[in-house]
Amino acid sequence: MKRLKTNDSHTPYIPEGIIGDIFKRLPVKSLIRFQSVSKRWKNLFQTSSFIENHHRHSHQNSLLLLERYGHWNPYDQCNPMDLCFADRELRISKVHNEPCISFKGVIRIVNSSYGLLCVGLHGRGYRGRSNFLVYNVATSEVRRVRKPLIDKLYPEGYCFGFGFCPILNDYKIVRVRLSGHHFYEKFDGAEVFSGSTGSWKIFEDKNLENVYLFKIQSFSCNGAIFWFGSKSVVKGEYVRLIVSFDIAMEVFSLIPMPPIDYDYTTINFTLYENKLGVLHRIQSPESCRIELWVMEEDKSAAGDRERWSWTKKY
Amino acid sequence: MSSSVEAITVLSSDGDEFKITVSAAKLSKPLNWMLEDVCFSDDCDEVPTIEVNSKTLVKVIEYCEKHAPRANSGASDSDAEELKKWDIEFMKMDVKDILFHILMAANYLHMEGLYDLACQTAADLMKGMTVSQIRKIFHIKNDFSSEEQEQLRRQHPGCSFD
Repeated sequence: MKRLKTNDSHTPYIPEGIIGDIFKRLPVKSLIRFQSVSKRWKNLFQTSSFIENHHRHSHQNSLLLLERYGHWNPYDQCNPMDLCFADRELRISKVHNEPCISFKGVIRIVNSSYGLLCVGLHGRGYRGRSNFLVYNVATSEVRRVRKPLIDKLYPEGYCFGFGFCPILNDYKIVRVRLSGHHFYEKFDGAEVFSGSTGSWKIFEDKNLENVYLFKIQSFSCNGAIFWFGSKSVVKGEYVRLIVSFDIAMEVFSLIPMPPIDYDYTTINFTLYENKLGVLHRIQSPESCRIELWVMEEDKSAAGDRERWSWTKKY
Repeated sequence: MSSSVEAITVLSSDGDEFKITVSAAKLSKPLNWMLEDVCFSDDCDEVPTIEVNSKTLVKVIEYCEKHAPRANSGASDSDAEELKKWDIEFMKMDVKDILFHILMAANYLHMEGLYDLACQTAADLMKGMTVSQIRKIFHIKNDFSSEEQEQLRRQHPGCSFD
């Protein structure tokens, strides 16, 4: 340990780790200002470990939730984005520095992850093209993502995912092509956009043959993106499962669902103690209750069957 | 053994002697290890040195003695509330003069509670500071060229970098 200076009139030398611990407590607005202190500080604030610490710390204090999103009205005009956040005490605040988007078509929030918000702009009708914006809520920086490589279907033929991976310090957008435009469709390939390379990549995965996906909002946590889906094993018979996409490794995996009964139920993803959870609402004519299942992942397990296990918390 | 004594004597880096109760010393991992390793009976003439200056050590010990009863036994909500108020008063100090020394000492003595408190206090103080005030405190030279500074300004309009 370095001997502390005994002379009180001097500031002791403060190592970078401690500077990080102080500044992770400051709002992004202050950090933007203080990145101009020196090049070393600017680099420090941009390291992935600092970003993750800062994010984790600010999440402890106020959980930002996306509350409401852009919609379009039947008069062919799109309303400006209407973003709101709710913190842990459920105080709702409107985001004032929202990106100005004037766009005729459907605006949909793909997902938000680590303070980044991915918005899909989908042109209307058969020939409508899809564009994406990635919006950093804290710094109000907007990035327009290049057009995807394949553009053959109207936007209803896709389902989307978006997630940030702190280890990579990069975000990815996943655009899964589906074989039709119903609520529940077969996987037909995917394209992945990486924020750092700025390009799309086409993805085929044998693992995902005969896998069907629900076109409800995806979920992102712990460096992966999740969708609900199912797989047909024998003709006419389906097994419900979760499709996950590892943002760093760029692999899709199929995760078994918790052992729940699906009659009269609604399921949602959630995050519980930094682990993926599934909220399961069971509504029967007699009663309504909610179960929470939390997934444990054992990366060392050899077979897929042992790798994931579910525990019922509530 | 340590169980037979209630207070131990330690030396600061300036060579001054300080007394600290055993229960208070337990808030620090290294001090706790020291308690287990070193013989602290009256006939033992070895006095351990803590690499923290006297002015800082006084404050650190004050914090330990205040927090020890709660850390050892757990406390009611009203106690926790009272302790929080005490912490705020305790932390009313100059950044350069003493806060950074406390921060370094808490880090060195592995005292999580004090470290978090000092970090938060420093962060709250710095939030309102200008960039040049921050540079002064940390003795940092501005190493951006005027073009680079201009670029930062363009990227973040409405943000003061002075």
